[in-house]
Amino acid sequence: MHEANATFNLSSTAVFKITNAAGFLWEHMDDAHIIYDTRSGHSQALNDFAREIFDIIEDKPCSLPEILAALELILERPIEDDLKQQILKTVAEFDKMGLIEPVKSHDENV
Amino acid sequence: MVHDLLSIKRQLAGPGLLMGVGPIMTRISIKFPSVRDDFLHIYKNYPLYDGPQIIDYYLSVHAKNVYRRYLRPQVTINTLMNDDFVPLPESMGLLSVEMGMNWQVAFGCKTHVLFHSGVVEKNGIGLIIPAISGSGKSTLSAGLAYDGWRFFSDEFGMLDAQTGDLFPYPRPVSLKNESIAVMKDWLGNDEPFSREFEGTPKGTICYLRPPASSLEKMHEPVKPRVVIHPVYSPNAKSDIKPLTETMAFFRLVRSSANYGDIGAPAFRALAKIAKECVSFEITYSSLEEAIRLVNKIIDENVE
Amino acid sequence: MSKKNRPEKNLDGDQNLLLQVLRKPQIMGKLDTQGWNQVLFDAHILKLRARLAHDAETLGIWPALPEKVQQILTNAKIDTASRQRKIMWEMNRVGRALYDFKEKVILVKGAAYIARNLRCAGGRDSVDLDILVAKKHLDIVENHLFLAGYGSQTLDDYDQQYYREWAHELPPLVHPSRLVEVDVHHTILQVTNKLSPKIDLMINASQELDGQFHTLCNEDMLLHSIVHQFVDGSLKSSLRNLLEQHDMIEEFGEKPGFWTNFMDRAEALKLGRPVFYCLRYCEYFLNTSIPDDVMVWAKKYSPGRGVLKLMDLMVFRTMIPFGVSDGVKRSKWTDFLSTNGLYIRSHWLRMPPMMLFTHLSRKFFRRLFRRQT
Repeated sequence: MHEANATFNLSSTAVFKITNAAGFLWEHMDDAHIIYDTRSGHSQALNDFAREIFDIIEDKPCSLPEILAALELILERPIEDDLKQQILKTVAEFDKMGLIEPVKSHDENV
Repeated sequence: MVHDLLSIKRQLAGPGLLMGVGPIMTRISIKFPSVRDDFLHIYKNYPLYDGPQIIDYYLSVHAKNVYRRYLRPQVTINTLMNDDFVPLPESMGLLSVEMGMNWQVAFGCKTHVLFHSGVVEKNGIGLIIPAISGSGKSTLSAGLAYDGWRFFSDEFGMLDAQTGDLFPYPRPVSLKNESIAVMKDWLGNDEPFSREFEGTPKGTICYLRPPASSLEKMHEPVKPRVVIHPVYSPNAKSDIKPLTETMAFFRLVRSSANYGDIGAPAFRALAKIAKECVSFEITYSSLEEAIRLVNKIIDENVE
Repeated sequence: MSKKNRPEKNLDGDQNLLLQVLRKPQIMGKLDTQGWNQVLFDAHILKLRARLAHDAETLGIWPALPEKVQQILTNAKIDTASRQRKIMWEMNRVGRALYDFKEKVILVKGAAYIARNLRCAGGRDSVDLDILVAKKHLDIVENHLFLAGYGSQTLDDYDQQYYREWAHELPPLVHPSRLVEVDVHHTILQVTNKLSPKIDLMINASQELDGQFHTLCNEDMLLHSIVHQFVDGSLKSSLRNLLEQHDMIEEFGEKPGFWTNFMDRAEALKLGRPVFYCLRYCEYFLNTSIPDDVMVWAKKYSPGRGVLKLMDLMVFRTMIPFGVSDGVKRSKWTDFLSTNGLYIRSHWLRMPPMMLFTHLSRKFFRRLFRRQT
């Protein structure tokens, strides 16, 4: 059996989008945002920072460098390496859970 | 409803007896007289029917063949639901009956969100006691039930996702090992207990019939108000710890057997409980202590 | 069908209440308690409760059903909906895993019906995700799935070898965090089967679904279901399979040109005999609307009288299982022999005789061994 946590390759040029905005249900709790995906039946807790990343992708499909640039604008400072790694991990996790997906070449101009 | 013992036994031995517990109607047939006696003792006061009822589940308790019936008697059950239970010796037949009924509800019930939890009610306050095995939830539920609370279940919390109501499913309490003596002390009366079944894979097991007053109200729902996760620890100092909404939510998700099947309505219903009920974890070392903590939580948090 | 050629009536099963309800769901509005218990019991055994719920809702008679019946059918409805949702999600995940794979991936069976929202998907209990790819792409597809975390369930060497050499699919793949079985096929019948249809024809004729997946064209989809039941299957869920074919015939049959294409296709793929069985039993059990000329055409492929009689007998026995509550006393042994007799028969078509012997005896010994441990 291969490793359960195998992830997909995230190339820096891949553009991610949220395809299922209508199928997500949100509940806002005291210390997290809980998102429920009606397709997978999974519920996950997002902290404010993860929610911010999610919102950026929801606004408009974007690549990893674009996500980082948008976050730098919000934070009003450059993003250091530690934080960058965390962002990459979060995006990879979103992809793994199916919350976001890479845009296919033939619908890239969505 | 039937009350005549002879006709009850005849039904049970033959085509099957209809028994209603909460929202569920089961047709049970038991081919072993000794198991029938155990069954009828622990299910005394339960509504039994011979008349026309639409049936949820069929449970047959029988011997595989003549050898297993008379020479080395062994109880086989059929739930008609892909079960694969190991046959038990005749003396443990009641365990088979209980396992079979649990199986049917755990895998068949989707109309209600099921929690692996005890549920009790007092003064219109529904208390959910979710927990893993060994946390003492059965003992705590039973202790509360014989201390003025109404007993819903020690094993299956049943929530209507649309209305947010908890429904009673008051089956006998399943007590294990040390908790048997604790409960016999607590009641000071052995009548509501089954025989003790020794040498089961989980040690000694004994069943306890819920109070008759709880059985009479087995169709009356209640709104959940409090969730308490018990942790039994023989040497620990007793403790009360509040849970955040998020923690409360995910613990409920984890304790639910059919959350994933029901989908969005279950998500909404559990989020509502997490946000609107008060949720705590308690650590305790005796039944008296646990009940004191429960009352303290209710007094301080629910008006 | 002319009267003479109809299967003889009253080979029990025909009067079964569930069958009557499936033929005419309106009568659900008039069942009494005893009737409901019979129908619900049989429907449970045959995994058709969700189908009844679906029929009642489609016809608008759901509110007229007794509350208790609604409760019982709702259990099945939620259960089935959840399985269908799981399969659609697995399809999404397989799509993600095959993101870089540009060749055709064809959904077959349940997943195709659900994804295309076909009539036969309504209340259908599906558990696995089945996909079909060209044989030359098997390795690359399997590789993509491994990279995405799928693994094959532990099978012993014999099983692995059996799958790879003789079966029409890879050993089932499962993602450990979702546990839905994904079966990757490269043909629709065992390679040992002499009827093995020309799969390239089917792959070429497949229709695009959503940019990522394809499904078989209507004619092939029906043929596949027929092959699955009358050549390949164990016939344990016969009635469900027959219903599936019935639904497809009713739905596709209305489309212009369907029957002409279907008959051509069945001939090109040499599937006349199983098609004959399907039409015969669909019409008999479910009153399916089949044009007369199609029936006449199909009869060309009928076996001789003796074999047909035997087949009738066995099929009737397998449609409605024993132990049902309709009061008809039936021998468990003939039922067992029918179900398992057909199982052996369809295996016979599939494997060379010597292999069949070793396969069945291995299965038998393994079962014995399991029982002892």
